[in-house]
Amino acid sequence: MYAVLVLAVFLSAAACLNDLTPQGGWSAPVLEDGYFYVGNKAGRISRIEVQSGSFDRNWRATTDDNLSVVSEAPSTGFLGGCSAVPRTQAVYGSPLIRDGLLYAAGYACTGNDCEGGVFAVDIESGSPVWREQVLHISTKIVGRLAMGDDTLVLGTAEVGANDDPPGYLYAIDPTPDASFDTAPVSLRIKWRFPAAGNVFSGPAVVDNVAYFGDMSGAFYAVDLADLPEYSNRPESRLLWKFQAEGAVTAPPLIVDGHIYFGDFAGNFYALSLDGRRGGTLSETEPAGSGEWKFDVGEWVWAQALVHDGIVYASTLGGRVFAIDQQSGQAAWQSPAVIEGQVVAQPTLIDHARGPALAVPSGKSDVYIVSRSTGEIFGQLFTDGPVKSTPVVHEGFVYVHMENGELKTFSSGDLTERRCVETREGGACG
Amino acid sequence: MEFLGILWDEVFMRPMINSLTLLYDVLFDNFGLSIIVFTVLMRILMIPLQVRQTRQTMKMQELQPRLKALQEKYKGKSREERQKLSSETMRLYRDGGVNPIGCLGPLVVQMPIWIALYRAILRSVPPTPEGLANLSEAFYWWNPARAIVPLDSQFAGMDLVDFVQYAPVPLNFALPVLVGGSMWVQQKMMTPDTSDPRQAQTNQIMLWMMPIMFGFFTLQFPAGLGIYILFSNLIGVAIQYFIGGRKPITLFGRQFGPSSATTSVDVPDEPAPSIEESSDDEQTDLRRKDSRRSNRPRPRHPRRQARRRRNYRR
Repeated sequence: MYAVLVLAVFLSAAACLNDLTPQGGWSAPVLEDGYFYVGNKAGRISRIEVQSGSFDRNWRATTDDNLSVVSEAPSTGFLGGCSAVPRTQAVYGSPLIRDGLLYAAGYACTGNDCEGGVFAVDIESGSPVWREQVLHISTKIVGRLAMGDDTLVLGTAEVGANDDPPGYLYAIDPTPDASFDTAPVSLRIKWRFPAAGNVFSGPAVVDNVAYFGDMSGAFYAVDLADLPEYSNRPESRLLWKFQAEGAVTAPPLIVDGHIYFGDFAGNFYALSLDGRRGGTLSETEPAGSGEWKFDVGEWVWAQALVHDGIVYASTLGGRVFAIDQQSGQAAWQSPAVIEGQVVAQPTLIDHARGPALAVPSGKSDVYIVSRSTGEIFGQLFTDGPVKSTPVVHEGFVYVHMENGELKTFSSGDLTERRCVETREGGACG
Repeated sequence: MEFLGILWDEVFMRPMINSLTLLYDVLFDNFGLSIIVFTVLMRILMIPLQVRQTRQTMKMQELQPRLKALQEKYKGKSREERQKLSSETMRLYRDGGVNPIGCLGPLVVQMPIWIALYRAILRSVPPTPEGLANLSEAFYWWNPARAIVPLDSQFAGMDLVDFVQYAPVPLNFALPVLVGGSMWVQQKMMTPDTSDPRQAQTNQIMLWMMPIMFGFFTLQFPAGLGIYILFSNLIGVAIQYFIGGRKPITLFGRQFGPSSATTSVDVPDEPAPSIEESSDDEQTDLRRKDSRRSNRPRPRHPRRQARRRRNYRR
């Protein structure tokens, strides 16, 4: 009997641990004017100088408590719940930089009680440019942000049992406030488009139209224009919709008038922007106009990569496929197989043995895969999971790891050269 | 340690996650139904263990008078007597076909199931992106449910992945009360009658403490685990009712079940084990004494007892 009590205590304590806590560490570094900007595991954006690898402690967004994605005390449940457990503020998406401003979003949870935050800062000083400093939305924000002509968009996921619909595409006014004393806070959110499922996939924006998928498998094209006919009816912004067979969490990639994305039913799709715009094509199957569907057999989470007429699609089973962009046929004899999940988009890299892909592994390391054959040339040994896209710059590969470390490797001999911890700027390990 | 992790995943987690998700796919995309049916299946699998446990408990109950007799016989505190009592007790158990720790069988088996189910529920409906990505590794290739993720975790107004304490009122109170109540009934049915006042007191404490504590802990469990424990208890009560001889139970002063208290025991008739070195007359005498003591517990006074014996002989 006492053993049962011990078990109950164990289960009770374990309930507060990692299963319910977002960890983050998926944010890819964004390179701008000699600095990397990366979402860290403290719910903030860190600025790190590329040349020296030094962590910029003077940049305000790094140190200002008001600029973490969640600044308010977490609410607690009955009897305190898991309130004793510090809640992780996770940033999954990469920061978005436009016109001297940096936008970022993330969320934190206590149990299933989650709160998201979006903020915008001046890229030079790190100072907030919105009066509210952080725009709070009671939701999970997982995908990256995207920018239309004058609208910042992001996807959200349900929190709690009563959210209906379960997800939204939020449209936010990105304009800096001229004065923090007079700007009306309530007008920051312009509208929100209802989705049939949680939106984990960051939207892609082309010609002021946002494209994104949700967990119900629906894929949407939503007009971001501020037209009178859309007022008070955000659902009327839908230009077209496609129903995939499985949930869509992969951020869409738009290249040469086509959208590329995968789903959880093991399909990878190519849809035509122009063909779909007419609204006459099948809503469930690719149909002509260069559209196709490719069976990858596993869940797809990572964004695809297109280069020289080849689409590279990666799966959570660790397989990388090369697909002909026009025909939708396999370009390699067999897919490359790495150990671990591929959660983030691979990147192009020039290896001594030929052009290659740097494929991040959710288990450990970054694999260098030949672009022409799928052969594995080598690995960057990160000694930990990588769930963000590596950045190749001037002979080095920069890898933001899931544990929050930013490691630098030589792209020539693939050896590690430097490591910075992105939360406080301390030493790694 | 890595090997143990793989073993745990392959033996418990993956089969459980695949079972839950497969049931979800079959049972109209309802995760609550999936957990309930899973509970029923698990309890059916454990029926042989529970039958064995019940029989062991009943046999233990039958052996109580003889056990008492032995304790009375070897009540001295010398080392030899204690050793003798221990060996005779074990012999009594052996001859009576009783394994003293056999009663723990279902409990021991259920513990890893509870832990695994707790993890399996959270992993089947992961609330974090990491959990969702990791779920892909848990599916068997043939499981059709892997294409229908994410699962809908809403059931009866609750999010089965969320803690019970966060469920809407009054569900956040009702579920712990139901879990505690059903556990109390099950405990009540399974606790053997005993003539030992100390044991009876311990049983009484456990009868109340366990359900109260479990009801309290349920607040911190995902609602899905609460549903599992509740239905597991209810099924346990039903099974106990049938294999335990359909004994009536008394709740709040009222008797439920068959009016007769006669027990239709399906324990096979076995010859009563004999206790060596004690005649039948002695045993009968000791049983009578034991029965008297148990009915009216009081401290023994050796001198007074000796005087009574002398008077009786006269």
